[in-house]
Amino acid sequence: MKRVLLSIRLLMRDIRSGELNVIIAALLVAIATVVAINSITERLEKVMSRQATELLGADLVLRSSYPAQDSLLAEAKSLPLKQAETVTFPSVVVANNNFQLAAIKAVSEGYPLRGELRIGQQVYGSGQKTQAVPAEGEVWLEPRLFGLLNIKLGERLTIGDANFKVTQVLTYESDRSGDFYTLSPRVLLNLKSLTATKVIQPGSRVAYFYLFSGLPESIEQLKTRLTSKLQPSQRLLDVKANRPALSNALERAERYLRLAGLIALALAGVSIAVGVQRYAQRHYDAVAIMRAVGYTQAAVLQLHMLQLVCLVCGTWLIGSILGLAIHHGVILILGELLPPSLPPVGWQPWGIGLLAGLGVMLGFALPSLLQLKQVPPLRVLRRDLLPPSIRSQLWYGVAVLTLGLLMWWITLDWVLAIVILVAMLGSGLVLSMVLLALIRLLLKRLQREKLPLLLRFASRRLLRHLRFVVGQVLALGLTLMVMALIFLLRTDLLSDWQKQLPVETPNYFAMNIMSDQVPELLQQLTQGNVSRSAVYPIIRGRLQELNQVPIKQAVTKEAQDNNALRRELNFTWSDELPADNKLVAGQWWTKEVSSEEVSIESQLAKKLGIKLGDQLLFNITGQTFTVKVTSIREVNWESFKPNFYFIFPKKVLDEYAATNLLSFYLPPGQEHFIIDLIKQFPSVTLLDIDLVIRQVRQILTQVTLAIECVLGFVLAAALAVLAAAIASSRDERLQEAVILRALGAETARIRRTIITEFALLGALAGTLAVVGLELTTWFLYEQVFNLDFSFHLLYWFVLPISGTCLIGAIGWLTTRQVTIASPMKLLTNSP
Amino acid sequence: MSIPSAVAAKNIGKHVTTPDGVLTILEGISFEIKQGESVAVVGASGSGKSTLLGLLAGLDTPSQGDVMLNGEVISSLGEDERAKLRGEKVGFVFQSFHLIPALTALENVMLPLELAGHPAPETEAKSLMVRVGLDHRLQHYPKQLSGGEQQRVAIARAFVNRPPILFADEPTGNLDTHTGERIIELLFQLNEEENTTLILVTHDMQLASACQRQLHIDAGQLVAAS
Repeated sequence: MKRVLLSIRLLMRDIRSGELNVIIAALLVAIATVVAINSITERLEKVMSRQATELLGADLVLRSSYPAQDSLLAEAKSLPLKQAETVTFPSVVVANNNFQLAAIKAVSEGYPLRGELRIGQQVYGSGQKTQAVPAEGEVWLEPRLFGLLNIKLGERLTIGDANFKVTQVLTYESDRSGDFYTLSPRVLLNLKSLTATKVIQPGSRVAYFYLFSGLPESIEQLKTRLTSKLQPSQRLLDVKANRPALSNALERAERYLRLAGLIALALAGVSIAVGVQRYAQRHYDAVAIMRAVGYTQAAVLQLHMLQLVCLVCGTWLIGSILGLAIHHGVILILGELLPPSLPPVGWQPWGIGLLAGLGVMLGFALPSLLQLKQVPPLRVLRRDLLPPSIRSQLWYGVAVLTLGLLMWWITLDWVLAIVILVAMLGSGLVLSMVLLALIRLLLKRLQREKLPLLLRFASRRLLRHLRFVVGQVLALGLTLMVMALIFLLRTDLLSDWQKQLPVETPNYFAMNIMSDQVPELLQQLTQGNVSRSAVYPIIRGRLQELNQVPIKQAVTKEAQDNNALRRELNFTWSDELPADNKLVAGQWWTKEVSSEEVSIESQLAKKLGIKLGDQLLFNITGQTFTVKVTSIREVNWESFKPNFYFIFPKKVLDEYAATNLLSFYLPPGQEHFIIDLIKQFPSVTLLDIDLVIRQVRQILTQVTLAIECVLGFVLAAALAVLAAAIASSRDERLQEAVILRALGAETARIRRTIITEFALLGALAGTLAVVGLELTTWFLYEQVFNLDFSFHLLYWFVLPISGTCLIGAIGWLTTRQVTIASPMKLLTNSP
Repeated sequence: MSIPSAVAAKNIGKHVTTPDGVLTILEGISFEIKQGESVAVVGASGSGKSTLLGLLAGLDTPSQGDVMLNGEVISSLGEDERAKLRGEKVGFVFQSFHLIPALTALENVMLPLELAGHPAPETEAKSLMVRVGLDHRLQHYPKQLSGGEQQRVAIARAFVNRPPILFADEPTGNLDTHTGERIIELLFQLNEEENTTLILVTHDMQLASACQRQLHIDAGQLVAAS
């Protein structure tokens, strides 16, 4: 206890003297980063799950082709879960002597358990959120049905034997996923009204959905219990099987945040290592005295270790509060994106913060402390006696181990952690060797007599401390690289998202267009000055065989369940590769020489194990034909444009009857155009996805802001490293400056010398940074973020120049004291 | 017209403010030193002799009174002007040598010439290194030299730009007796050859007696001059 008090007393003295500023700043950055990033990514994970559950309408859904067995539902009732039920089927609805095939959905009270319904009294308004479902005897209709049936609110509509009053326009249904192209307009009614319609007969195409929501544990329990009891025509749908279209973007954002956090932590670690090394050197004398008056090595180590642990505890409190404050700031930015009722922040972030602080401190500071305990007591008589220098292998070993653990901890991915670590170490080693040779060559050249004194002095000084300089250039260079990398990644991620949703992203799909309607419809769109996609013919069919083997036997067990094999697919023909698709294997056919071939989408090809040259047998309305796979395409499924698993040459599908599909962009405030369009082409199905796009845009904007917040963190960590690296040579510079001053050098000259030296360091570091940047971005883009890599020519200018300016400026600022130090120090100070 | 003294102190004093009040380090000190003279400033530890040396050399300014080098009042000059003056007129030898560790022995000696923009610093510096007997150590760094060798490099550096006045602060304080004696020999020899005014601070009475005059400082006051 006495020793703890002594440690605290000594620590307070060091803090007062400003000796620990850099270490404190680095610790604060490390702890705040870990606390904030951990909480933020947890929240992002929640957003993704919430989106997924909204698409499902629940946390878990049991889909069945017939009413589920009572034993299954009894399982659910025994758990604390909310339940709802829906029944869907296609049926013709009649109103005002108009007939229309519609997608009927009968829902129980409480539906949807997740997500929302929006209803209104205006066709083509955005409507209001509602908790209710249609009352018995009433129906809610999707907007386009009003045009198709020529019906108004308050009028009546018939389904089978029952008659319903139309009471609301159904403007939004968060769980309306599924096949866009066959989607008939929705009619929503109460489950209790279903029996009266008498439309469900044996053999009807009906799907029963049982919706469950509740705490994750209960859902997990239910899932386990139900899985073993499922019949062949029953399936469980959960959030993992149903990732939203945005999950890719959000996962990338999360990966970015974790990577940025990791980098901030590693940088903080480096500055702690540098800071503690300097701290240890400054304590050599004090330790020599302690040893002389009887402290053992163990006691010295214990005393200093206690001081640093106390320091971690102190900064932990402030760092955690800072981290949580930033987390709350980001939550404010993310706003409505997050679930309305977030669980309160528990003890976890605090614990994580403390662990991170202790981990970073001990991992990076231990080698210096071990050296400190070895200061010989004889140093009280001979100040030139130094502790034996610590073996560098030990030093690097401890640091690498710490870094590896931190990486694993943050990425939770051993492979990624090891790959990044090996890449960093490998490139670090190669770069430092190249750097050593380069610096030596460069500085030797600079040493020539003809150069001005300043440059010569600076380069001589750097050359003299070559190992130290290489260390500094590596630290500064890597820091600059990391700053550039994080900035670059941010820019590229954002522009990638922007590309995905350009300003005029189509917000309407027009489907079921008969071929003879196409010219007229296109003319209408042109007159309305509406920008549109190409027209895609749609022919529905199934994939039946792969290389003469029935497809379900030809693929792996996992793939048998693939959606593409369980339902009819939309095929199209095209003589040109669609603009957004990218050919990844094989060749595209030319119009003149196309034969019996097909192009397949890359993800599906991978899942089903289909390769170039494979023979596929397709079935379209009972007729079969065989084609050879001649190309594989990459498709951006998040582009909100028509995309296809299979594309054929025109010749292959020419004889089959096709409907057509196109998408277009309608600027806001032109809803009347849609109403006119519906009147003119009543059989064409129009799908409004404007709301979805707006939501996606909002999410991306908010996530962008969150990312910028984290960028701020990394910059703070980077600045801490720069300051630490520069401060580590301050004492020596101070000494040199006063000697120069005593010998007659004026302030401006000393200042110029220091700035020149730092600028040289900065130029070297900037050059190193740009080489490292290209290597690392290549790796990250290709392996982690799936972005396209290209050289960053601009950075070849920007980094060396900004390195020169930035490090020159920081060097000058942090060593300003050096130029105002009095030369009297030479008379009063010992060496 | 009389020839101005090399160094003159007129009623100089130095006070510093501490948390316990104003502390007087030097008080009412006046004397003159002629060109070519050698003077030892002696006194006990903490008597203020190093402070006095700093004021005379223009490393610091007095709180009161004037310091003159070759008739020019330096105590009213700014730091940069004093630095310029030091570069031209003053050489230093310190107790702790204060060589620049990043530079070789030769480069350390060249430094004052380079700072003054001398056209051939290397030739001059080499000839001084020969005179201090270190021509075989030109490319060595301070760390690779013994204490005595380092002090000889420092002496070469002090004389290289032929300053009219040389200040030495306990030049043998960090050396063993034998090496100390040889350093003093070298210092006096060069002093004589260059006709430099030598002002040295020491508490070694034997070294002090080798100088032509002694100034005794006690508790910040000049108590005896001989």
